[in-house]
Formats: sequence, structure tokens, C-alpha cells
Amino acid sequence: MLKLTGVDTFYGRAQALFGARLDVRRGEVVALLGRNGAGKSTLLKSIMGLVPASAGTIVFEDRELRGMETHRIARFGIGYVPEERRIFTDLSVAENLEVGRAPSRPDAPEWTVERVIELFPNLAPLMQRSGGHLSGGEQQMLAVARSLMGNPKMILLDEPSEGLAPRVVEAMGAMIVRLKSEGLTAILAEQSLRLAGLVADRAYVMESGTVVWDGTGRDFLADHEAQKRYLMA
Amino acid sequence: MTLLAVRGLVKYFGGVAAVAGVDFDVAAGEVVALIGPNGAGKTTCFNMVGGQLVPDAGTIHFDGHEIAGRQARAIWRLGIGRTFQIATTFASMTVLENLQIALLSHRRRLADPVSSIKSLEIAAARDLLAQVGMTDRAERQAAELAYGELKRLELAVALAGEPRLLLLDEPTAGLGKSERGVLMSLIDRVVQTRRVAVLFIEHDMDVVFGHAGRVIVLDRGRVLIEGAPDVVRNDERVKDIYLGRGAVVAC
Amino acid sequence: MGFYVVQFLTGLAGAASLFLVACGLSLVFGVTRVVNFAHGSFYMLGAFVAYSLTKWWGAGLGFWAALVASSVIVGALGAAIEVLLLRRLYRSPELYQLVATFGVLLVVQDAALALWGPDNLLGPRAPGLSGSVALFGQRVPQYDLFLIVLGPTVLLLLTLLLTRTRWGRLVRAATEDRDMAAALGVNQRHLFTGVFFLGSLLAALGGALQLPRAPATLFMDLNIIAEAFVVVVVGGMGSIFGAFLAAVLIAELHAFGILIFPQVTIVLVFVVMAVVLVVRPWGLLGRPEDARHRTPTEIATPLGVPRCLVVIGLIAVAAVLMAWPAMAGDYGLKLATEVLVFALFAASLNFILGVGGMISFGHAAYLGLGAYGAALLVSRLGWPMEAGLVVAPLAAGFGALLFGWFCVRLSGVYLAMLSLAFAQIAWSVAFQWYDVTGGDNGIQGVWPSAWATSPLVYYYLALAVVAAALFGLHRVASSPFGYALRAARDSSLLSEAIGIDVKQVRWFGFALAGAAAGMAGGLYAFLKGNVSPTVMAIPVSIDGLVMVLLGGVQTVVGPLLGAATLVGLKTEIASATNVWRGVLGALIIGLALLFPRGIVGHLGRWHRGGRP
Repeated sequence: MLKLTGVDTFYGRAQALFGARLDVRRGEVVALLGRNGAGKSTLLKSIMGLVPASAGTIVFEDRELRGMETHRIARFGIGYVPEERRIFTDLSVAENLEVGRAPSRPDAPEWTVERVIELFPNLAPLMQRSGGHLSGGEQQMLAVARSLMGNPKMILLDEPSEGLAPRVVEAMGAMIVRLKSEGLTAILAEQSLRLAGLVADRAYVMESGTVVWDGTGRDFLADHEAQKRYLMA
Repeated sequence: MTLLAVRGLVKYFGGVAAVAGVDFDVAAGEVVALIGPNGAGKTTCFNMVGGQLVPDAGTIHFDGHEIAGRQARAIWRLGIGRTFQIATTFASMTVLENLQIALLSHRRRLADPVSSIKSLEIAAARDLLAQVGMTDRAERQAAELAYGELKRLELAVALAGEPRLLLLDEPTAGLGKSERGVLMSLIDRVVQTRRVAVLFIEHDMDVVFGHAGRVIVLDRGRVLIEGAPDVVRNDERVKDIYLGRGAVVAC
Repeated sequence: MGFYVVQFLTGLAGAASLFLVACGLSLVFGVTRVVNFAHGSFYMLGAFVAYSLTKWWGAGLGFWAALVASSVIVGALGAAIEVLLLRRLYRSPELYQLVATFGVLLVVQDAALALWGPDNLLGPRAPGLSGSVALFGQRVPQYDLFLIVLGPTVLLLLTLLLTRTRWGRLVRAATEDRDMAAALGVNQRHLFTGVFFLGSLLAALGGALQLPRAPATLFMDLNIIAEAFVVVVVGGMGSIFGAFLAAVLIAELHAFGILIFPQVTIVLVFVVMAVVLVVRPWGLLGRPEDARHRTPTEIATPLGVPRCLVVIGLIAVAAVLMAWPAMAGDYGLKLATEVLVFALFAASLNFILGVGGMISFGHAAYLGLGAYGAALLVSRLGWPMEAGLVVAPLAAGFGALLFGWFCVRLSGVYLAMLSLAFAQIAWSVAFQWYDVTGGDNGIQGVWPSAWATSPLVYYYLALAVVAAALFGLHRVASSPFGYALRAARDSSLLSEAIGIDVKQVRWFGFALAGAAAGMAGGLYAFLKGNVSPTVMAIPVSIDGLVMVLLGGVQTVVGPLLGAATLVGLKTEIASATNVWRGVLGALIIGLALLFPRGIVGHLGRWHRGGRP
């Protein structure tokens, strides 16, 4: 569904990705693991065209995304939930959802405000509250809900569990499982196994801007040596 | 002897506590690593010590002075030099001029509108340049340097103020393996020859455990644990935040 | 009592147009981050087009139809300009965007002159509202009451548009975070064009609405843009309600200022603006500039000259300057003296722009302060020229210290707008304070001392003074202080972290540049023999910027070449055709389009093999 090969990305003159690769099949949840600064966020931003990749290919459903404008990439059916959440703080929760809304597409689950609220009941009483007055967890839910409103076929989640209490992380895990059951494909960038350990089918591990390990989620959970090497020490 | 003493440091961003009551010390000549996951509050702590941010609560004592909330330029004059996550130098100037300006500022000679800078502080600037191994780059414009060289120049600029404490925000980020080695051995040498204390944020654990005398782990705005590298490396709580074992077990 | 109420109502009526223009400007800036100079042109065109349509359709209901039609037509023109020109400049340095939109303003000015002629156009009375209403024993025009209602109505409609429609929500989202909006599939292009249409439409409506109150003139564009800048700076960039508040505040200051302090109403505006900016640097309802929005500032050197050529150029220029008197007559000498004066002016602007990284759009204020300082001393107090030339830089330097204190607290377009607003205030004082400055007529009889009256001697005097000043500026630029200023430009973060007081350094730099411009102003006064407010009008400030851009930002010879080119071009174009503004405007637009990132940026990109 999405295939990246040899992706190089620069921030100014500092190179952040060195020939990164990724292969995501329809209906999978793929974890993108690695420590801070390993290049996970940059990889997701490169897919979205927010930080343009300078080399390599990024193919989504037979279309080359590299060099394309961000809004077109989004309209092909890729939802993006950034690490900083980037809620529109001037807009209310309902308005944030409205900005994310896009026409439905035949090959993706269709989302309405009602369905999104059903998925995140906590947002229901907050609909008129301004995005700037939400807690971290609420912002995270809104960021996911907002991208779902675009009826994506694939969703890119950048560290959704960051800064969240364990209970909220579990809820987030249940949510991802449910989205998967509805046919949504997901890439989940995480520093830890807190969330990824719950839901990932397969995992890619990044270090210093390149993919250094890949395999099934089960294999990674079993491989304590790899865990220690790539995630911690 | 305690050089830097941070107590009860707090900083809010839009109602969320990025740093929620942090205490730590750095002794003279000590090398301390500050680690923790994204959003733990490391850079925010740094920016409060360096004067780029004003704390919402807490005290920062440096060498007998209370520096919390003071201007960055005043803090620098007290003897704290720093580098930034994204290497920052004066891009339009040559390498040598970058160092001259820092040295001139240190000697309070920047108000002079008449002398030509060409001949000022040249010897001291070249000396600093030699210390970071960049003598052959003196006349290059900073904008033309490779990233590794830029980081070394940034370090040299920070040293121009003869600091007793260096704050290094991710010194090896954006560098390849070999460049990392060069930079870290440079920092080791500086620590030995100048007896300067170093507090650094770092994600490369080889660098952390290879160079730090003590490690402070931050998580969600608080100090989770601090101690010798071996103690920290084997602490279950540290494993939890990095590996998320709690969640795996719960599953 | 009744009198004051009526005066208050007059103020409110005056606020309507100002609000329409300012909120359009603010809206466009919020989303596109471009400060659109041509916004004032849309205001002017709105009035002109409405005038013609009313003539065509008859004065009955025709006026109201013309009001609407004119707004839509000009709105469409604005959208077309966005698509054809501004779209290519969104990633350019701010300076280019500002200068390019000023080019549009010049072209529109000449187009309007060609289409409508130079005379003021007296509009019709508003049909159905031509009478007046008695209030507290005073007569209030019905049309004023209509305007009073219209202002809040437009505010309400805009608020509804922005909060209740999908389009409005997208605009607000993009104002806050363009990239995130794009990541949600929002097409920025359509949004930008739409916002430009709306903003231009509002400006045109504001202009058309003024027709029954005041004649349409070719000066409307610059007058309103300066006022709109004040309103936007005071109200806070991007805030529509802030624009409304500030428009009312400024209009009321005008309405009541006339009663209390008739000559210098504008001083009140200055005081209010100063107070607001001290208490709230980002305006009444504005927010601090978000680093996310800042375009990476590249140092623009469109026609920059390589270093080796500078030395050769310097020798060549010196040779030409020394030999010039042998080749030229009196007229040629005066022209050459003018080039010298503007070279110093451009060099002083170059100093804060190139070395200090501050975009000043009101540098003519200091040229003017110098000129007026010298002229007043000579004509009012009877002091000699020599004293005038000493006082000129001091007066300008003092003015720059005062205005600069506020300016250096801001950066980028905010600084540009504030500096322009200050310049316009200085202009207004010269224009309005008839007893002292002679108002529009200016000050006559500002002649050099007896020994310097011959054009040849004055040329050499100017040459000596300018050469000394240029050398001085160059010297400062390469001194520790000059490097501190450069450091503050390259990275204020690092500058503060190595002990540099960035604001103070920039403040002194600003004042020094002001003093140098004042020196040029003093020379200019004695060259022309008179001083008028035109010397500190906006076009002179822009001329300075164009000279700097033509000559390259960071060279010594640059300003000289730039000044020679522009003064020469102007003289040539003006003698050959009467559309010199249009030609100049087209030239400026062409320059900005050809090198949207500056030639250096282009070369750099090409050098790195296409990587951004």
C-alpha cells in the first residue's frame, strides 16, 4: 500500500534520513520504533510532504508522493497526527473536526462527527471548548479524531502515547485495534513498547535516520537484546 | 563543591507543566548527562538555566548567584556557556570572526565603533580554534561549514567566555558515528584541561554511558532517578519508560 | 454637550472606511503572511471604479449598485494579482514581498492617472441619504449615520463568516498553522486567493464608501495604507476586532484632536500608538509573532558585486566623481550632487538593513528630519549653512533614537510597518504644523553659505561630506560594534547567549543610520534651496530600498550605483514619458519575480544541486 525506498531528508544542511525504507500492507498496524532523534518523525513528515525528501521514492497505491504538495497527499487518503498534536487553539473542538472533514471515499471507512464522538466519548462535552483549553490527553484524542474526519485509508500516528497516563494509553490501544478492525491501515511511531507492544503487527526500528531492524511485532517483543540495543542503551 | 543547584523548577506552557518541580545539582568539573524521553522537559530545563526562558517557580543557584529569571547575557557573564539543539553560529561571518566577537563580548569591548575588528583578539581566537581542531578553517564562512565543524565552532564560541559550566543541548545530534567520536573526545579534553563542568542532553546512550560521570533521568517534567551510569542503566523504572514494560505486562 | 456627541459620531463614521481597509489588510496578512502595500491601491480603485460606474448607470440607485459592483471588480483584480504575482513570492524574503507589492502600487497609480486623469473626482451624494438629521441641536449627515451602522455590521458579518462557515474555519485554521491545515487536505492556494479576493473587496468597498464624503484622488492609496498600518499595528496583526477597536480609536482621536490641538492631531496618534506598543508590543488584541510563521530570512543581494570588483569599482567611481565636473554643466553637477546625497541615504538604509537585518520602510523620515532641522535653523533662526549641516544629523539621530526605541522591539514585517507608520507621522507633522514647517509649501530660501553657492563648490562639498560619511559607516560596520550588530542579525538567540544586549545594539545602530540619513537630508536641503514634506513621504523611503536592492545589500559601492541608477532612470524616464512610476513599478516587480529569493539564494540553490 505504501512503500518507501532510499529516502534521504535534510533539515537545512543537517541530514536526518539516510536511505530510509518502509513497506506497509493494507490493513496492517506497523510500529516505527526508535529513540528520540532516530528519524521517526522526519520519516512521517517526509511521507506527508511537510519536510520534502530529497532522494528516494515514496509510493502510495501506485502514486509517487515525493515532490507532491501536502494537501494533495492528504487527499489521497493519508491522515496525519503530529507529535505536537497541533490542535488549532483558536478553534473550538467542533471546528477542529470541521477543518479535518473531507468527502467520503469508497475504499475507506466513513466518519461523521457522531461516529468520532462515539469513538472518543470524552470529547462529547467539550465540543464548544476552544482547542487551547484541552488537557494533553484530550488534545491527543482530538488530533486523532480530526484526522479521522478526512476518511483516511491510512493514518500516521506520531507518538500518540507521549505524555499520557497508562490508562489513557490502554484506551488508545483499544482505539487503534478498533480502527484496524474497520479496515484502516496505520503507522505508529513510538519510542517505547507501551502502546506499540499492544497493537503492532509488524515493526521497523530506526536508528540515526535509517531502518536497522524489521520483522513481526511478536519477534521484536521476544528479542530482548534488540529492544535493549535500539530502544534503551 | 556544588556549582549549580536547581530547586523546585517549574515551567508551564499553555496550562501544561513541561517542567513540574525539578531538583538537581552539578558540582564543579563534573560531567552530567540529562536524559529522558521526548517531552520530558530536558530542553525546557536547559533554557531556564541558560536564561532563554523565565521559570514559573523555583530557584537556580550558580556559584553564589541566584540566576532564575535573569537575562541570558547576564548568565553568560557569570560563567555559563551553552550550545543549541540545532547548531547556531553567526552564519555570515568567518569562523575566526565568530570567535572574535565572542571574545570581544567577553572582554566587554563590543561598544567600540571605531577600531577595525581585523586585528582584535586574533591570537586568542586562533588559540580557541586550535583547541577544537579547526585551524585550517579560520577564513571559511560559517555558512559553508559541514555540520560537524559547525558543532565544533559552536563549542569554541561557548568556550570564549571562559565558562565554568557548559550546557550542551544534544551535542551529537545530526552527526555520523565518527563525527560523534571526534566531538565527544574534544569535550572530554576540554573538561580535563579547563576544569569546566558539563551538563548535556543526549539521546545516544553510547555517548551518555561513555562520557557522563552521573546521569539524571527526566520523565514528564520530573526527575525520575539520578545516579551513576551503571545504577541508572539497570534501574527498572528507566527500563519502563524506555521499553514500556508496564504496558506489555498489562497486555 | 451636543457638539461633542456629534463630533463623536463623525469620528465613528470616519472609522468605517478605515476599519474596512485595515481588516482586509489584517486578514490577508494573517493567512498569507504578506503585508500588501497595494492594499491602498485597491481602496483607491474602489473609489475610482465606483465613480465611473455611477456616472454610467446614473446617480439614482446607480450609486448603490456601483458600490457593490466596484467592490467585486476590484476584489477580482486583487485575486488576479495574487495568482499572477504574490503566489510566486510566498517563500521569498519579506523585503521582496513588500517591495513587489509596492511596485504594484506604482503601476496602479499610473494606470489610474491614465484612465481617470489627474483631477480630483467629486462623487455623488448617496441617493436616499443625502439629507441630515437633527441631533442635540446639531445636524448630522444621514450618510454618516449609515456609515456608523455599516462598520459594526461588516464586523458582525465578517465574524459570522469566519466562525460559522466552513471557509471561515479553514481560514482561521490556516492563519494559525498553515502546514497542519495542509496536512488535513486544505488547499492553501484556493484559500489564499479567496482571502485576497475578500481583502481587496473590503478595501474597495471602503474606498467607494468615501466617495460621497470626500473627492477621490490619486493620493488616496498612500494616505490610507499608512493609516491602515497604524490601525493594524495598534489593533494587533490578524485580529479583526482589534482592527475595529483601533480604527474607532484613531478616528476619534482625529475627530477630537482637531478641537484641542488642531495643528498636530497626528502627534496624538503617535502618543497613543507609542503607549499601546509599550504596554502591548503586539497591539491591543495581537499575539506575539509565532516563530513557526517566520520565513527563513535570507540576506538578499539581487545584484550583489563580487569582492574583487568592489575595489575596482571604488577606484572607477572615485575617478568618475572627481572628473565629473569637467564633463558636466550646472545641471549635470546638480544631478550628480543629488546622486551623492541619495547614495548616502541608501548607504545609511543599507547599514540597518544589510548589517542590522532590520527592514525599515520609513527611512525617509530621517532624511526629512535632517532636511527640516537644517532648514529651520537657517531660515527661522538665521544660522549659517555650516551649523545647519551639523544640526541635520543630530536632529535625525535624535528622531531615530525616539522612533527606534519602539522599532527595535519588533522584527520583520512588524518592524517594517511600524517604521513606516512613524515616517508617516513625521510627514504629517511637517504637513500639518503650518506655523513652523510651512505645511505643504515647505520652507523656502534654504541656501548654502556664500562660499558654497556655486554648483561646483557645492558638488565638492557634498562629495567630501558623503565620502567621509560613507567611510564612517564602513568603518563602523567593520568595528566591534558593527559586528555585534551583524551578530544580532545572524542570530539574536546566540547573541544574547554570548552577552550581547541585542535590543540596545540594534537601537544604537538604528540611531546611527538615522543620523547618517539626516546628514544626507541636510545636504539635500541646501542643494534644492527648499524643503517640503515630500522629502519624507513613503515613495522616498521606497526609493531608498530600491536603490539598496539594485546595488546589492552588502557592498559599499552598491548604494552609489543604486542611487545613480535610480536617479538616472527617474530623470530619463520622466523626461521621455510621463508614466515613470509605472515603469519603475514594473521594474521593481520584474526584479522581485526574476530573483524571488535574491540572486545569491538562487546561485546557492543551484550550487547545492537543486536541494532547497
